[in-house]
Amino acid sequence: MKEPNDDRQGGGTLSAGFHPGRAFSLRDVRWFELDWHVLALALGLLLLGLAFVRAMADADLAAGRSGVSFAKHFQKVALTIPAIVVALAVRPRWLRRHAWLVYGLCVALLVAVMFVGGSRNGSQRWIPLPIGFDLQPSELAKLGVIVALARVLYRNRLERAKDWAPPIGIALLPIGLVALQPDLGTALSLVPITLGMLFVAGARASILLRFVLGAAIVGVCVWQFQIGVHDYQLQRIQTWVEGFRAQDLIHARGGPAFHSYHARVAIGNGGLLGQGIGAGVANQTGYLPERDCDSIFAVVAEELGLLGTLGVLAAYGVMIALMMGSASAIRDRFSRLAAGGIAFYFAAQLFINVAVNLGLVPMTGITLPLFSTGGSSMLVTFLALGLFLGLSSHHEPSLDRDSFRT
Amino acid sequence: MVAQRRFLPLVAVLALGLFVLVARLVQVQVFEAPVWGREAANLVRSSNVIPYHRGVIRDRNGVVLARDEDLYEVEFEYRAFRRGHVLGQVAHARSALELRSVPLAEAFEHLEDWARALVAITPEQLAAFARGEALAIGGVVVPASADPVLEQRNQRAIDVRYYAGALLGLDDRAARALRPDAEDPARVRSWIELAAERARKSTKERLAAELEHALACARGDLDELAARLADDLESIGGEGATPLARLVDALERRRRAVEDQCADAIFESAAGFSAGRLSSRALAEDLDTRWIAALLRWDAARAGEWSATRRDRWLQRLDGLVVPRLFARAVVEEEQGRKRASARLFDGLAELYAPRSAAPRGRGDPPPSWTELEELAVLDELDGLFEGVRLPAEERDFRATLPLNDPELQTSEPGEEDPWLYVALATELVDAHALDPAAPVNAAEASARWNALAEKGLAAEDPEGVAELGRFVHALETRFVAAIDRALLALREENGGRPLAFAKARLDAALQQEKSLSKDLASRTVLLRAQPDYELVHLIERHPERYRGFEVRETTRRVHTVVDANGEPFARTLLGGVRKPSLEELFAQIRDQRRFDALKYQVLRSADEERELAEINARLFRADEWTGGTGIEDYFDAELRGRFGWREVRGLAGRDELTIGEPPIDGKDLDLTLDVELQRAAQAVLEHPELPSERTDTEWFQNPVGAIVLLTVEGEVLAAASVPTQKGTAVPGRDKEREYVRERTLTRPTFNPPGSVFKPFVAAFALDRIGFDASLRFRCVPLKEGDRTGGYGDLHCNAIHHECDLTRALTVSCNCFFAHVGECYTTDELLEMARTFGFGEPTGIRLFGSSGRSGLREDWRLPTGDAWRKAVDAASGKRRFANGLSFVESTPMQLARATAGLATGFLPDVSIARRLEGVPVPKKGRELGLSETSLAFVRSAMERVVTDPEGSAHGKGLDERALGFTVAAKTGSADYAAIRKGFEASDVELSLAAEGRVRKHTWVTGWFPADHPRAVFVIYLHDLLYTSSHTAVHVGAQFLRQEAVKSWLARTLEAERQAEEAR
Repeated sequence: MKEPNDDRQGGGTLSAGFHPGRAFSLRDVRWFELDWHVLALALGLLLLGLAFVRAMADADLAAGRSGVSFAKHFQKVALTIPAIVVALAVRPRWLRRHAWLVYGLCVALLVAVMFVGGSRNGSQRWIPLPIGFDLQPSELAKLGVIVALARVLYRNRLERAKDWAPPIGIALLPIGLVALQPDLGTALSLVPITLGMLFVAGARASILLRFVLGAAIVGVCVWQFQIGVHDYQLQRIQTWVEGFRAQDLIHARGGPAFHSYHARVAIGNGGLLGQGIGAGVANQTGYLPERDCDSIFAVVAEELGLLGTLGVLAAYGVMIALMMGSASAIRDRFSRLAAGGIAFYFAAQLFINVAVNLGLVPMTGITLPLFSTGGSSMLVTFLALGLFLGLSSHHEPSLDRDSFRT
Repeated sequence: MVAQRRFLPLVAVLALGLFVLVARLVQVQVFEAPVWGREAANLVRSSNVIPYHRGVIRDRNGVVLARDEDLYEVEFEYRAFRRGHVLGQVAHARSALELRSVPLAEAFEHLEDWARALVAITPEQLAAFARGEALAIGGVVVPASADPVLEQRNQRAIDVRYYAGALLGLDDRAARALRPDAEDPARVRSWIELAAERARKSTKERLAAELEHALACARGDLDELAARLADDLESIGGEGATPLARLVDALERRRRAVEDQCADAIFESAAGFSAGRLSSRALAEDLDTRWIAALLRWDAARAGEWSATRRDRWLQRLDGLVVPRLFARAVVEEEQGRKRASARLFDGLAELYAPRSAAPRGRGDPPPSWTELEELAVLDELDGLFEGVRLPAEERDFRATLPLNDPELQTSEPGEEDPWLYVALATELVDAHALDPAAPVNAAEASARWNALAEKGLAAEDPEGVAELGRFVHALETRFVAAIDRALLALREENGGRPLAFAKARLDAALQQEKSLSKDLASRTVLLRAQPDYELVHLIERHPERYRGFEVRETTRRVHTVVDANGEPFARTLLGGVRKPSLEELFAQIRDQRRFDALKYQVLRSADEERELAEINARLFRADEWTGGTGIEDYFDAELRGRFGWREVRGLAGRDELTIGEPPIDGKDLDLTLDVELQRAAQAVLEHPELPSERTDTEWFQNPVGAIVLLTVEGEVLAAASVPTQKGTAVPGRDKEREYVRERTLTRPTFNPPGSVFKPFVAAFALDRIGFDASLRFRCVPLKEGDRTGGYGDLHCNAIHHECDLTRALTVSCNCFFAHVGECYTTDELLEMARTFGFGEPTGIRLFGSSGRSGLREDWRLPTGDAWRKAVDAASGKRRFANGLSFVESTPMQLARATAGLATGFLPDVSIARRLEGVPVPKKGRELGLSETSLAFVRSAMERVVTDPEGSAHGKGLDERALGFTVAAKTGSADYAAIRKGFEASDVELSLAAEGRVRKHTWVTGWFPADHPRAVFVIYLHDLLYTSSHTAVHVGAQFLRQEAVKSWLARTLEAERQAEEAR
């Protein structure tokens, strides 16, 4: 059976002219089918995150420290939260047709950041913007990869060996560019998203497992033989290996394990019931680096304790599971793949961020969606959330082969 | 359904992932919660040690001899001063604005103007400043910045805002209330207006008046403080400098020291090595350290000052700390049999030059062997340390840069016959002599020097050894720095000649740690005054809010409250003193320290481990703790020493503070048996002996060396005095004992036979145990015609005694008679006799034995080896033994104890401690086991020594008429050494030598009253030319004539009478 080719309808390039009505429409949204429960969970987590950032800002002010500003965070939230509505209104069909455009834009930004990007924390990752925060193209690239992969896998069921090349190439290009910044953590966070989407698209689990195994072997070799990685990256791995046990981490606290140590102290200090919001040692001392951003989970764990943190993790888990459930129910293959990719995006961010703070994986800078203060991360989170809500509720007629499969 | 099937496994993966996260979370938050909780508490905890009081030492009448005196110290904490004192606030706000380290003196001069200007800044101005725009303030224009990020404009603006708020007295809550306005860049109202309206509910005018008042008070307070600290502040600016100027300068010096330390720590966290390891030129020119200057608000001049002084500081640390420690540790390890000192020195040096990756993980872990050293510190870091530049491949080989990592030296065979060979070869390799003419010229000379040092006996703090090692280390350093300089120049060439900027990742790591490093270093206190007067303490304690940064700390010092006529502490050699732990002792407890650390950081501890932790904690002593050094202070250290208390404040200042801790436990009080007055009398007599009118050893009376012991018959030491108490000069012809200040009642620094004072014990035992006939008569006649003294065998008397029985022999001290008595003994019987009276055994004064204790050193052994026995077995040996010569030795305390046994029939253990913390020390002793008849015979003979006109102590001032009480005594003189002939000898000595005389110790021992013994005395004089009758007897009489002795006896007898009446 021949695949339908909807790309011919309405044109696929900017040369055909941009018509907002074709790209965005809230009229096609079936509001009663909107994933309100996902939205409610996301907004709940966002509010909880705001409370934590507020407490941090108060602690910094009280201690006479410069650091976290709630006003700035709130300003970023206010500025980026409309992205939910904008993304929600994106018509899946338009997105599919312009997937290459989105992807190309993301890649272009990744290239541009090498030349015009500002440097922070040893990496050239940010493009200055006059809107209260700087843009981090590597965050946008995650969405670009999801859309592009959904687009390429829309008609590619990975049935032949050569079918694997396009999706892998699409993933590797931004991974490579992000790794060059260097931002290995963000680059690697694209891997689980890609693997998840490939699996949903029909890839056999055994092949993917071989990929993972191969990557793990390469990783170990890279570490052992120190090929193609920076000294500080090797040091992080070394620190992670040596700091897994509490006693070793405490011994190494004055050196490169400084960040890991303070994260672990904060989490461990939370105990069963937590110290109360704003009352944790991380907030009192201000020693925990990036505590409003990459390490916010440590603050949450300290101040809510094990029980509260389990609640937060459960909320995240339920939200992601609901997203996967909704995605699986979408009849349109492109929308299903893209919605699934977004669910994997949230899952990957959550797992990597929490695992980093818990010392399960080497230290790397990655945000916790809906909690961390980074502007770009927040923008992408809201865009992803809106896109997911739109894809799952934007029912458009589809002649996709999957639409007829039961 | 197909699609749903593809998602289901992923949901399972999600669930599995969550399970892993939760499992780890449970591990960290539940199982490891105690250890992380402790770590968290450490992060927000400030603690201080509360000193304990060492136990008081008192004499038998309750007179305090030694006690701890409470005193205070005034300390200074720069961080508290910077954040809490208006001078610190103004100076640092100004430094943040101008990006230069504004001196405190300058800030003090402009205090009011600058403070007013600071609170007049508007949030809008500050926001513009943060963006890099120019700012005009207080007559100074801070120019616009081309690089606001590098210049830290944003952080500087935040600092200024903080200090402005602090000047206006805004507490945390007030600052929070003010915050919305403060963060709004559109606001154009000054801080003081905002604070008045929003936070203080006041008016601008009233707030301004409050500020003026605070500033005026600050000036006055500092002035008052300076006046009280004036004596301790180094003079600056010539003699005209006021105390206030000197105080401000002292604070400024502390600030500079703190900032230098911060810069050092930040540099090290970025570079991985200390800034002092680079040459001053390289640090100033080759490296881009502007970021450090911006962090500390330094201008170029101040930054230059820092970089110019690091190298010297490093070398000072090497000389003052590293090298002595290295040397001490090597010596300790050789003493403990762990490693040869030479090898340990090289291992320690290799640790100094090893890269970070090769450093031992735990404190006290032994360093790896020097033969494994390949890469070198600093050089190992350089490749990859700087942004965008790598070391050229041909410059990366640093093997053999130092002899320590020279493969040829490392693999050469170890020389058993010369353990210092490596050190010697290395000294030649680094050409130490070329750098320092005092260093050895070549390996042969180096080897000879080290071996000579080793043969002499290496001591941990041997200055000669430390200096030798220092010369070698300096040579190593010169070579090392030259190699680093070459590598940095190569890197700079690669960088197009530009200074090398640190790699961004390194910078970020350092910046992350900057806050905690700065806080830690600036929070350390320094001593301003050791013993402040009451007014100063009162001033700071009563108004802490006006003296932020100045703190009063409690401490103690040991005070000896009773002093002798020379102002020296009472019974100094016996009481001893306290000291700080030595380097050796600190090293020796490294194992305990490691175990302590391991237990402390252990996640879960068993009850046994908790107990072990507490025990080690109690055992470990602190580097600044006073501990027993010598004498009684040392011997009873375990009892006198207490346990430090601690106080811990958890939580940040002003918020949720929780103070916990444990009180200190004071040491136990010790009541001695000594009587201050008797001790003082004994000491005075020994130091100023009266010259007898008869022929005597005038040299000794001018330079006395000896001891006096006074015991109760129950064995309690009433006095134990020794001379000299001050280092003297050796008298020509005599030994060097006059040069040494020693305790001499318990020790015998030289050969110490008792001589004739031994005869009463020989007599009593002979009568009772070997059936000697007391009526046996023996003739003391010259051995050959012309002799002026009686002789028997190889022994002579001092006169011809003709026919003697035992009583007369004791009275006149006839050596010939006792030589014959000695022949009646077997060797075993002689030994048993000595043991019966306690010779050859401890006196018991060491209450807890000798195990693990030092301080009260006691010599008590008698030689009993085969050679000794063989010598005694011979008839001549027994003759000499029975006369207390050659084969038997005694300390004055042993003799006093034996005399007490003779006087009472009960041999008491000697005790110097009556009560410990109020609990009486049990008295011990044993019956002599000799019949009363035998003992009474000897006692009677000893009375005759004083009363019989023939007695050796007759007419010398020991009679009842002279003293007011009767005395039984025995004199004795024991040959010690030959009179030296030659240029040192005086005419008297030469004539005595011609008579066949020798130098001797002279003794008197006895008890009083003779018929009702209450006390036993022993007089011991060292190295004299005349016998006891001409020397020791006179000193004994002088002592017993002392009012203190008479008074004590009267009190004792009266007390006994009253007790008897009461019964």
